[in-house]
Amino acid sequence: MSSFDTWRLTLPSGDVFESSTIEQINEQHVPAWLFDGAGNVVAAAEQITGSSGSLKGQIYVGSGAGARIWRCTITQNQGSTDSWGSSSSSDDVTQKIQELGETLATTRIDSTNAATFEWGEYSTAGSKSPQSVVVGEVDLPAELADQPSSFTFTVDLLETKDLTAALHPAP
Amino acid sequence: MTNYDITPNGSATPLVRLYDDSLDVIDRDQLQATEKHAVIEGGTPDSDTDGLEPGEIRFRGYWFGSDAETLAVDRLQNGIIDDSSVTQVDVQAVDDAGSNVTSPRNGIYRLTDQLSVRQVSPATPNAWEYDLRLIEV
Repeated sequence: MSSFDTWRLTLPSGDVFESSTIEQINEQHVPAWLFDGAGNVVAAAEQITGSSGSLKGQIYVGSGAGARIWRCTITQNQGSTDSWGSSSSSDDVTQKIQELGETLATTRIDSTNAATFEWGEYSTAGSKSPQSVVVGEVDLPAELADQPSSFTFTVDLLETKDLTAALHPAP
Repeated sequence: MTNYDITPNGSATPLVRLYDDSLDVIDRDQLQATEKHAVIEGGTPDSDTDGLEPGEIRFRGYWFGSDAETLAVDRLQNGIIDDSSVTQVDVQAVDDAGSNVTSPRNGIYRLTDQLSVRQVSPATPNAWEYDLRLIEV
């Protein structure tokens, strides 16, 4: 069992959103090669004189290109004592949905002002580290017909470098 | 990785380091100015190198992080591009530790008028783009 089973997103503003009800977290690695030979009509291997074996071997350069994304499906409950921005545990579902939506909409989050994502081993309590992220697509459905006591939302979190660090130092 | 240090010819400062992890493909062009079959007063070209212009090399890339503006503005823009006393630069390949390495691109180059430095976004001074065209001396 991982050492930190709560989903937590800490915004650069200091606002914290967390939930211990995690429906699903998909970690996706989306490649984007610096060179992939895609412009070639035939696979690179087929063009190399004398090559034997498979003709399907392509050339891919730049494993660091692309994106790493955590697609999170999270449930927040009315009455939960998990930190939820400025909400209190007695606030209803509508308040909590809009607390998250408004806070994300009014908080500048980018590589110079990143959020921190924690879950499982990606945490200070875990064997990995919390991840610096920016927020991608967010879906906050408010299904209020039956006066629900919880809501489930999805948010994409994209791994980012910290642009405030000396990534390219001036020698 | 192979990075490239650029300094005014004969000087160690200001030093601009082009980092390999954010360098675009390095283009080198070399034009042949002699027209094929053309008659040049005093004689037609009699070798393949007649009319061959000096090679032009192009470095394009980015700087990211807290030192990006220092590299882009203080050192490159103010220290080299805008300094009228600087007409030539030294290009030296270095490894990640800053030690010199052998490279066919090492040498002295003349600055062209196609030198640009651009802040990627007004939202941050920590990301800059450069595009430098240099002529081999």
